[in-house]
Order: sequence, then structure tokens, then C-alpha cells
Amino acid sequence: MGVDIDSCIERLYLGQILEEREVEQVCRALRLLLAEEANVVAISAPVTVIGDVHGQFYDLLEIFSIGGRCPDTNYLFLGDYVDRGHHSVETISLLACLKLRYPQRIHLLRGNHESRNITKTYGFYAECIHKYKGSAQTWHEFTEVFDYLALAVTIDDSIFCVHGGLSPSIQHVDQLRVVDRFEEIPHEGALADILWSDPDAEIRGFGRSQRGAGYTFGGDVVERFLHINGMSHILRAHQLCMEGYLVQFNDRLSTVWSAPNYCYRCGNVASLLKVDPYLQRDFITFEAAP
Amino acid sequence: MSLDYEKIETECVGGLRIGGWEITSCHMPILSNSAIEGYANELGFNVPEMIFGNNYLCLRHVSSGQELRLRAIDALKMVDTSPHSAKSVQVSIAENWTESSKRNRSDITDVIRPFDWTFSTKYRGSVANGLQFCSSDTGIDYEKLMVREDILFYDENILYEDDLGDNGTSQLSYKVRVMPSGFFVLQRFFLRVDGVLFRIYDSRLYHQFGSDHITREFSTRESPFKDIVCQLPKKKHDDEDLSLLNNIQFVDGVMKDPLVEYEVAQINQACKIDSP
Repeated sequence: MGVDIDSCIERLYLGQILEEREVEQVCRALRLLLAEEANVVAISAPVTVIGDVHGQFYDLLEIFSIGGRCPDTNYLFLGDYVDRGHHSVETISLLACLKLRYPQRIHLLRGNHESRNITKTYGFYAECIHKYKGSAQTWHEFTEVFDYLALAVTIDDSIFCVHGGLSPSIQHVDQLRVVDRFEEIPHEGALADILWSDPDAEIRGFGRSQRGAGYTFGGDVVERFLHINGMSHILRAHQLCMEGYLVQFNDRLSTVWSAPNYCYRCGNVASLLKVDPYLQRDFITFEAAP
Repeated sequence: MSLDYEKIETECVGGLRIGGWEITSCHMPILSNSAIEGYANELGFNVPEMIFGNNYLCLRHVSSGQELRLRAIDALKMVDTSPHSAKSVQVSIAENWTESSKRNRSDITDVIRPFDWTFSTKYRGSVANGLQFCSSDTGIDYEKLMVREDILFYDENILYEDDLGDNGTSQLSYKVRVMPSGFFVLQRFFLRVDGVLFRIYDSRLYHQFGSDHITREFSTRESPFKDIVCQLPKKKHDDEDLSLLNNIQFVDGVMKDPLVEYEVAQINQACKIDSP
């Protein structure tokens, strides 16, 4: 690899974006690395789990300031690195470089925003064009990388981590292991479901969304999944939490939200979740960086 | 006309006392989880993700107590909850989705408590203390409004917003401006469902200080998604950039042919307009 990854990381921490050719090289190398990763990656605690960041780069730096820098701290990111915030390029560039440099210390899951279609509307595409003087090349490189991101992580075979939630097509984690993930997120099916679905305390089983596409799932689905897979808890992101996190279903499922003052106007706090070697979960909340 | 005025400025509320009116605009963060639960129980559906339930605009005529407020909870009470409300708009992939998932799964529950998940509302404001609007033939005097004047108070505020599960944007917001001659308010409901449609419902309120009425115009516009997309400015390199569709000003500028209703409300002039 012809790029000096440490120099890239150093500049990114200062908020300086990489040159286009550096992005190309980092992304190419990252795709090779991620191709070797399974759909469901097994990791061990301790690990600090992060929810949606959505291009809020200075809040990402705040996360590293509170949680410790990678590789001193192990990190698991649950997806949605880009769109809506103003610094998606800096955010995904830094995380990509950290993954390349410390592949066992940081894990990046795919969120529903890690997609070509959605990033054309919600800001990442426009930001790449703007920051790279009219060229869409970096957007092409990053969205190619997105196709390679893992879908789920298990922490010590006990905590199941995804971006969105559960799927009616996946009762056992092994079913997720055999999905072909190396493509744009489809409109339906297991891959779509785990990136898009939401828990709903009002229903039992899976429910069809009011909007015509997408599923919700009740506490009984969570219990059944955890039981069948011998696991204790589900961690996910995807939904805004005013208080930074939300624990549901008798402490069987948690939503982690890591974008404070979301869209620069919500006034919400965010959280990071520390999972210790005994699998104790501890939410640390924080406010937007000044 | 030159009136004395008094500024109102607290931590969350900004505004003005002028011409016998008190005009206040309140900014607070989104509701806490417990307050959200309360709203959901009252409404019978889940509230928008960004619910600024404590934000408001209040236009209060001091001597009579008549007032008009803009508040999220009242706007949400006008969201359709009839049996077919959920299906009136569906996301762009819904047609194919339903067929495919119907084939495979009979054990999935259909929609239990339908509601219009786009949060579309034809809310025009909440009136109190005898303020009442009735139909009228005349609209707002835009020529008077366009006369250049000092702006003594200006504010923009959001009442609620939701990203429709990353399928678009639904937003209710307002802008208020107060000039020496009167006040003008635009409350806007904006909806974009990606790949499907745009809606803009506007409520405009205008009062000239010294006059005995408020004029209200309520306008509705709706366009298929593709009709707006084809009006995106053509750029050399990036015809794929759809992010301008997030820009409400842009969409407002290209959506035409509103249906407009005119209304008027009388103000009880109990006494002469005095400076505060």
C-alpha cells in the first residue's frame, strides 16, 4: 500500500481531509481486508459500542476523547457514519483509516445509510462532490467499501449487535452468516431487514410497517431470538433517543444513539456504551462538542 | 406608523410587546421519553421523532386576551387516524414489497392502529378567548407587506420533524416577523416522501397594527416526486445529486398552483391601542 496510513490518521484527527488518490488507496486496501471478514464477526469484551454518528465529526472526536483513542480502546460502530451532518467525509475517512491500521481494535458495521441510493439524497454524495472539487470518485470508493462492511457482531457469543434489528427471515445467526452481503442494500430480504427494522413495544411477532415496507418486531421476537441463539442481549442503533440511549424489553434490547444535538437542532444528548469483560453494560452520555 | 415596543427575552422565549399585542416564540429541546409517551397515549400513535412539544408561537391581543398559538400537539391532533389513513401514502418500494412478503409470510401482522405516518396536517393554529376565523373573500395585502420596513423581531422555529424512517422528511415549522406596521407569520407543513411526492401546506397570518382584524390564508400544494426532480438545476458533473430536494426553499420555489382559502378574524378592540 503506497499510502502513509499514520500520516493520514494524524491529519484526519486535525480535521484535514485526505487527497483523492489517498482515499482510493485506503478504500482499495480496506476492501481487501473486509472481504476476509465474515458477515457476523465474533469479538470479545471489553469494547465500547457507538451508535449513529451521521457525519458529526467533531462529536466523533468527542467520543474518542471520552472513550479513549483507538487502539487504546476497542470500538464497535453500529453504522450510519455519513449523511445529514456536515462532515461525513472526515468521519468515514478517519474510521476507514483506523480500521485499516488497527483491524482487530475497531469494527464497523453497515448501517442503512451506507448505501448509494440514500447518500444521493441525504448529503454524503453532495459533500464528496463539494469537498473534492466536483469529482464523485471518493463517493464511488467509499460506497464500494460499504458493500463490504460486516452485518453483525457477537460479543463473547452473548451480545448480538446490528444496526437496525431482527428479520423474519433470520431465526438463527447461522442464517445470517450465509447471506451474500457484497452488494448494494436490496429493498427487501434479510440484509434489508437487519439494517432497517425497529423494535415496537406495542406488538407481538413481526409487524408490517405503516409505510408499506419494512418490519417492526416485538419483545417476544427478541426473547425467541436470544433463546434460540443462546444469547443475552441485543444492541442496535438506527433510532434517535433524546436521552442518548433506550433500554427495552426487560433489559433484553438497547438502542445506542451517538449523535448529540442531532442535525444541529434536536438538543438531545448522545451516548457511548462500555461493555466490560464481565459483559456489564454502562452507558456514558455526552453533549455536543462546542 | 411608529409605535413604541418592548423586547421580551428570556432563556427560551423571545418576542415583543407592540401595538397592543404580545408576540412570543419559545425554543426548547425535543421532549423527553416520558413526555413522548404521554403524547403517544393522548394521540394514539407514535409522535414524530423530533417532537418540539414545548415550542410555540403565541400571538396575544393584550386588552381582549384573544390569542392564536402554534403548537405541535394541536397540529398532530389533526393527523388522520381513519382506517385507510396509513395506506393513503406508501413508500416507493411498497408495491413490490407487499407482493413479495405476502407470498412468503402469513404470520406477519398487518397494521394494527393505522395513522397517517407522514404526519400531514392542515392545522392553521389554535385560537383562544374568543378569537374566531371565518371565511373571507379577501386575502393578505402583499403590497403592504412588501414595503421595506425595519424588522423589529424575527424568528424561525420547528414544531416537529421526522425522517419517515429514512424515507423522506415531514416538518412543521414557522417564521414570524414583526414590523412597526404589523406582524406576519408563515407556518409551513412540508413533506417529501422519497420517490413518491411532495406536499406543502402553508398558513399565512397578517395583522396591521391599528386594524381590527387578522387575515389568514391557507394554501395547499402537492406534486409527484418526479415533477420536482426534473426541475433540479442541471449541473455538468453531478446529475445524481438529489440533496437539493432537502432544501425546502428550493421545493417551495418550484411547486406551483396552490389551492388557497381566505379567512378573517375580528379583534375585540376593548380600548384604544396604547403603547406598553
